[in-house]
This record gives sequence, C-alpha cells and structure tokens, in this order.
Amino acid sequence: MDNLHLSRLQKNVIFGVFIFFTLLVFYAIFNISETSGKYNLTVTVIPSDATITINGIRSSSVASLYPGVYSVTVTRDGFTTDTQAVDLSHNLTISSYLAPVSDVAKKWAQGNASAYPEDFDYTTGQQPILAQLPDSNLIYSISADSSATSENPPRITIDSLPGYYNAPIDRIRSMGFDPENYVYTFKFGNPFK
Amino acid sequence: MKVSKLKILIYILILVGFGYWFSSYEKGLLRTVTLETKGPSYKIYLSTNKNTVISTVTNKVTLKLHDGYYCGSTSDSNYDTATICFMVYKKDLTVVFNPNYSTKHLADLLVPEQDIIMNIIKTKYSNILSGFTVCNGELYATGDIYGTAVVQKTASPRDNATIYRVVLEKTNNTWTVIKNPELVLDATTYSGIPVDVLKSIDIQPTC
Repeated sequence: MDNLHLSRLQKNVIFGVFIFFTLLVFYAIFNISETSGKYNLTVTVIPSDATITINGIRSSSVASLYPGVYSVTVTRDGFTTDTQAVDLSHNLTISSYLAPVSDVAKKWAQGNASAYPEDFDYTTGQQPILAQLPDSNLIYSISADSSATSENPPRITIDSLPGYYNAPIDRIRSMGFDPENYVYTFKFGNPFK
Repeated sequence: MKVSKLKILIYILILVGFGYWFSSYEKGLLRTVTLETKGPSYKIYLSTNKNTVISTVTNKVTLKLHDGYYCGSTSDSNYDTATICFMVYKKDLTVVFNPNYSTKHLADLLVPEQDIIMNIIKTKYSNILSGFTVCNGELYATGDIYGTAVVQKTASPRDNATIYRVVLEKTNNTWTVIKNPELVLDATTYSGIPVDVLKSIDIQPTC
C-alpha cells in the first residue's frame, strides 16, 4: 500500500469505501436470496396506524412471504377487528378497513371520512350492500339477517308480491351490486322445487 | 502490517467482484417457462415488441426466457382472441392458455345441441313446464355450459312474467341440469361455474 504513496488518511478513506461497498454487496446478496421464491403481500389499512399481524406475527404493511395461505388480522383500539384468509400465489394487495366502535374512534372516522372508500360504510363497518338494507316498498322487501354481517357471502332475505319476484333482484343490481355474490332466502315458493 | 492490508484489499476486491458477478448473473438469468395451450396455437412475444414472435405454442413448449412481460395471441376465430399476458420474474413459470370459444362458434355449436337440451329440460320439469316458456339460451366457455331463461306465461302481455334461470353442464357427452331453475344464479350454489358465466346467464335476454 505504501508503494502507492498515499497518506494515512487517504488509505483509511479508501479502506472505508471498500468496507462500505463490501457491506453493500453482502446486503444485495442477502436481499436477493431472501426474496427469492417469495411474493409481496401488501395490506392497505384504514386507519393507517392499525396493527397488522400475519399468522399471529406482527408485520409491516408489505410482507415478503412464501406462497401459501395466511391469516391476516388488522386491529386498532376502538375499532373493529378484521381477519382475512389470504391465499398468496402472486404479489397481492388486500384492503382492510376498520369501522369505529368507541366514541373517540367514531369522531376520528367522521373527521377522516374521505380516507374510507366511497362504498364502505364506516359508520357500521358492514359489507356495502348490508349498509343499504333493508330496502322495501309496497311490492317487495330486501333484508339481511343479523347474522349476515358475519357471513361471507351474506345471506339476503327477499319477499315479494306474486308477479314481481324479479323486482328485488333487479333492485340489487340497480344498487350497483352483483346479485350473484350473495345467497338468498326467498319467502315465496319456487315452482321448480 | 503492509501485507495484511494488501490481503484485506484483495479479499475485498474479490468480494466486490463476486457480488457484481452475482447480481449480473441474477439479472441475466434465463427462466424455464413452460407454455401450454388447451385450444388454438398462440404466438408468444415481448409485450413491447409484438412484431417479433419468440415462439409459437401449438401444444406444449418449454422456453428459456429473461425476466420480462410477455404476451400470447391467437388468430383462431373459433376462440376468444383476447391477448393473454404473463410476467416472468425471478422464477420458473408455467402458463396454460385455455381460452373460451368465440360467441359465433358457441352459437354454431348450439344448433345441433338445442333440441337435446330442450328435451332434457322439458322432460325434467314436464309436470309444470306447460306454464312456462323455455328460451333458446346460449352456450358458454368451451361449449360445455348452457344457460337459459325460463319465463312464466302470463294471462296478459301486460302482466309481469317471472323469469327463472337454469344452467346445464355437459359432462361425458351428457347434458345435466345442475340445479333447479332459480330467480338468480348465485356463485355459492353454482360454485363450479365461472361467476362471469352466471352473470351473463342472469342478464340473458328473455324470449
């Protein structure tokens, strides 16, 4: 080294730079091997400071995981808890919106209503269609059982006057929902059964 | 001491060189991509360069591809000609092209099946079908799913006719009614049928 006629300071700087790049290389190698064969699971949460756990282990909003089925739970004091089963076979983004339960949380939600998606009723935390039920007129009624909030897909109960049996289905469609996504209890008979 | 520092320097240079080689190797690595088609042949190309066909898949082919975004397209008019794209990234991949038939081809296939299907429906519901009209219906997917509307006859054209929907599936060359006709075909009950097909049947025009 002395043959290069470098001062001690220069030598130390060069040595430090080499050490830095060495660490960088190690980091790159570690990072490549660490993410190989894994997929990113991104969890979008509202409130943004909610706690995310994946299979019971606390996680950041982006987790690099091997393919498989994971249980993702999102919690925050004063809000509902959301648990979703995720089958990870590619990079995936899921959303978890927590509805407020405590008074403080409700105040926060009212002040941050714009943070929630338009079709999410943050006042109840229900699936969007349940927030619009019951819906009825002189001809039909569309309602959901109290247990519907915990069912997926939710069960919807339909009653209608004869001759208007298709009207409630059309109504669900006109609300902007796909009727195929729910299960039904009809309070009138089906001649084919 | 001098020798020691020189050794460390050489050691670090080797490490840096190895790291550089490893990262270059990772970037330039070829992935084994298996492409299979259940229907027509597909031309494979980089999404950014449609004119340069990398390979044509007629049955099953294994290619060595760099990481990137690739697409496959078919010109077989009997099939849905929508382009199917896939991403090769860091690992080997298997892609199966399994397109649905085109609307025209499905309509052509329905012609010889129509009477058979009608007879099955009319036989199964012979006791009540006199009060209903079974529409011609349509075939879906690869011609093995059939859906139609069953419309209740009314005393007056001004009356509302209740519309039921029924789905038949062809297995082992035999058509079978999956479930009794319903007002709506929900994805839970018809778990074996693609939701898009259920939606199409549910909004199929009546006769």
